[in-house]
Amino acid sequence: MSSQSIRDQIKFQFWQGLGWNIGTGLLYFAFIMTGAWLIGSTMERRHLARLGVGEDELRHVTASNCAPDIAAHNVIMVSGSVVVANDLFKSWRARVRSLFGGAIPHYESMVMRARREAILRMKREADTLGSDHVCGVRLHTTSVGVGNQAGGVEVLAYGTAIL
Amino acid sequence: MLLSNVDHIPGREIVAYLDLVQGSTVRTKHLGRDIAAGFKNMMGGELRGYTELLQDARREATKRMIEAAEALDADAVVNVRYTTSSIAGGAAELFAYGTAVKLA
Repeated sequence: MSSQSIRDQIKFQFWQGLGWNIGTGLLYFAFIMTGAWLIGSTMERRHLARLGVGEDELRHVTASNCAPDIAAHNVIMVSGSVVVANDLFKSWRARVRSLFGGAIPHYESMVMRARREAILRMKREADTLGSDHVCGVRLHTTSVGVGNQAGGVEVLAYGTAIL
Repeated sequence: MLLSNVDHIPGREIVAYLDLVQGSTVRTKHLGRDIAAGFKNMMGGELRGYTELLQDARREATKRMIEAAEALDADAVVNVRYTTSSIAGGAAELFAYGTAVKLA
């Protein structure tokens, strides 16, 4: 027997000792995915609810992305940023989807949530400063890697608060 | 130092455009944060450690830009823009730039 095949056999026995055959492997996979899906979608629902409440609260702060020529006695730059990641289940589904192409609704919703959160944080900062208009708003999206995989997205919203 | 990301300071008059000023910083996250974010990444949601890290870095880049403007004896920086680019191996560059101006 060559040393290669002995090594393979030892490796096989090691994994078998841990209970890793295909059946249990699939079971672990299903367990982790279901857990990720349940926790992930609960967190997404909660986040959307929080966003709704926050946006209602700050309805009096408006934002625009043009430069108005209005009188102001002070201007302060405000910004809001957030890094959001998708759960494992959705990342996995997106990976499957990318085999066939087409829209990935889960990623769309993640990016939209991040954008709303960033705008909300920017408006909140303006509100604490006593401003009710933010002009020249720019939105900036970057993909952020977690470990060695690209998992999350960073959205930055910034503008000039008029006081 | 007044900062604005539109091409003027609302309510003020610009008398001189001095120069382009910039500030940048390259940051990487530490291992502990990375591991914590890895777990969080399984469940989705906000990665708070990363949000704070990028905010700190952006503040630093802005500070450096303001220092450059102060060196030019400017009153304000207009048209401020931020960019982020990921440089190899989990490091990110945060970059801020704008035009230093003199106000009336």
